[in-house]
Amino acid sequence: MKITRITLWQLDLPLSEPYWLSGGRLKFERLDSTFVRIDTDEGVSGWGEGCPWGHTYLPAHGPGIRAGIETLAPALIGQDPRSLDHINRVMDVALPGHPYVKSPVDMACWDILGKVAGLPVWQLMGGGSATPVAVNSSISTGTPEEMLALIGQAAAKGYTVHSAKVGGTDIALDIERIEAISTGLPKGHKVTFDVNRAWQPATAIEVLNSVSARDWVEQPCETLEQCAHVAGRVQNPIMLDECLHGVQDHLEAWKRGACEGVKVKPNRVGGLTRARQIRDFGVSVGWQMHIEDVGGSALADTAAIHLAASTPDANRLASWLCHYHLDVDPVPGQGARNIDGFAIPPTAPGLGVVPNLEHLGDPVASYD
Amino acid sequence: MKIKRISLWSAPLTSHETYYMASGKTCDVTITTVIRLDTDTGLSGWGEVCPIPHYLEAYAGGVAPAVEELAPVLLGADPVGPEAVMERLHAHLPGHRYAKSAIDTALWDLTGKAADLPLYALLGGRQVADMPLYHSITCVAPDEMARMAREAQAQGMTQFQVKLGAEGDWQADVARLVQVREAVGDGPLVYGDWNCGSDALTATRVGRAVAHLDVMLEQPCRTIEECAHVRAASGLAMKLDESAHDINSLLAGHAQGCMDAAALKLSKMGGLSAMRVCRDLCLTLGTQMCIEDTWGSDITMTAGLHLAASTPRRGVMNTCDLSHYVGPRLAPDAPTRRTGRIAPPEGAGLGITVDEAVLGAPIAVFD
Repeated sequence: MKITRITLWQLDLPLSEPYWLSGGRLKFERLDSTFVRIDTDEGVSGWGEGCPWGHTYLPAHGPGIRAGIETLAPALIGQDPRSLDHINRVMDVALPGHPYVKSPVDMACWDILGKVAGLPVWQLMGGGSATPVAVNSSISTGTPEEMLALIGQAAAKGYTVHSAKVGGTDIALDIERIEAISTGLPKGHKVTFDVNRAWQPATAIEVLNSVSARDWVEQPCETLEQCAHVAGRVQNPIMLDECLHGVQDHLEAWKRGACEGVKVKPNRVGGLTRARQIRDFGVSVGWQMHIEDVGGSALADTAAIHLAASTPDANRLASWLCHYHLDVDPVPGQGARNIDGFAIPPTAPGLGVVPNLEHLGDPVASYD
Repeated sequence: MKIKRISLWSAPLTSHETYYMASGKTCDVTITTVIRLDTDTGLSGWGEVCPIPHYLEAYAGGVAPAVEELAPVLLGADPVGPEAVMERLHAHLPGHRYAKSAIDTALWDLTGKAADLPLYALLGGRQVADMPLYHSITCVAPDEMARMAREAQAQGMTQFQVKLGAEGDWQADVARLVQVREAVGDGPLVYGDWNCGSDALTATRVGRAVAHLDVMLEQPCRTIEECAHVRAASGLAMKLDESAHDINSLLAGHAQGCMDAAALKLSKMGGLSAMRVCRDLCLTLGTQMCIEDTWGSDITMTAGLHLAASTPRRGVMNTCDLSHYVGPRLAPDAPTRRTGRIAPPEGAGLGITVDEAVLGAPIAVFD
């Protein structure tokens, strides 16, 4: 089987609510998503999606995905899409780095492998059943009252796990937010305080040693070194996200004792193949993981839910679904959806999501 | 002063001698991207970035989309004081250092022109009159490489980078180091560079086979840990390149004891603003520096020369005259090598005149 054509579509995905990242970074109102279809000489096609969370969050932006795939395409045409590790090696030689460019290509190849094998991706990833995965909310930063109100609204929709964004310039307000949310959380619910790199190490130590909350704290500072420094001086379990890119970074984080868990996001690490490798490492060292994508429609969400569902319960916390925060649904009703706080991966072969061409408009590029 | 227009050009640079590195990497023809920032005062600043395909996390096609993403921040900004502008660019689009390096060079060019001072004066003041160049020898047959070394030595070159690993034959790599060392005689600096293309075992075998010679090894393997292993097992001094790209990786290389020397490259570090900080750290650590860019022509080469000339002699190992290796020249009045050495120009900013006729029509204009 050979790849014969790679076709790209660009979609604007408007968010239902504008989103503010911590640290005074820009707010944004829409996401720039790229849908990728890979066609083969045997008539089987696979779909992937790459959708950065704006352009201020990670070293990734929508136009960069399309420019990168243009550079990768000549190396990919003619390759066997079922040979996932080989496909990744080909991409790594053709274009070092740029994991966000490679993720949608890798995703489409997993879709093809699943369709050819007649198996859902969760089973190819080692899963025993289409396990329902807890979905977690994303609570924008604000006053403690505003944030608790948002948690209440999320709870009414069935969410039991919440990711609350903290990390402003006012240390006292962060302390107040964390204490109020930790004590005011509905019974049985869990929260992670996501700092998105906003704190200096001393700020993190000051805040976390001032609160009685012992909930998870995510990515307190910019670098792995800073986070490791903080992890050794606070009581909270630490989850790392943005400072981890390659497999090597995860080994380094473990060696330094910098965290008790990580976020596994295919688009950040370069696709499902790399994400699975990192997940497997996490399982072997006892990490607890949030497995979800950086952004996108139910297509990208579903790919991540396949990986999450195939992860042992003890090592899986929850998954955020980006499509739930969008005003549009380019794959109507398909894939893993939030039903009473849980998402179940499809059991159809491959990813189990097939975009309808009428919803995508005209392709922006095609390589063959 | 405000930036009112951003123009981008794309131009092919052809190597005078096709250049082979480990793992099949070459730079026969590369695409360089040139940027010009125009301001409301009539002053313009120039920058350039030219990634080598498959070499670092950078590619020619990624430059224009990144500049377009950054254009809203640049347009209307005051270019004087590049670090402040760069900070805003980093917040707008993290990463993509290579694309930002071209912008950063243009900001420095404008700042220098506004101050009517050459860049070396703004980057720390003139510390050396000129700098030694190294000559990079493409990975071909050992005797052919020895011949190239002798030729370059006859023109005054005293430092030789011997590319290794093109065909994965470790004994050929030993022969390359032995023959080049012998060809140039005692004294000149000779170092063998794998560009990450080796495993630790093979590099250790090569290193131990030449451990009786005065040679240094450069970036044999991909990670700092592996390079440190080769450094310890071979006992030979080591230069880091690909794995040393920012403050944290320089600190890691130093901590692992495998960074006798380091390559500071504008597109790898993200421009003069970021590289100046790395330069200052290397001075503190005692690391010998090669101050240059990955590839390219006169514009980015000259930017590197200004930073090198403002670095104290104790830290400058060498620099590279990139535009000697490729054609066409983008700024014919840019400096050239003289008896193995080179110096930055004296004019304001970069101090060079870009030949716009060579560039043709812009590929993109943002205003």
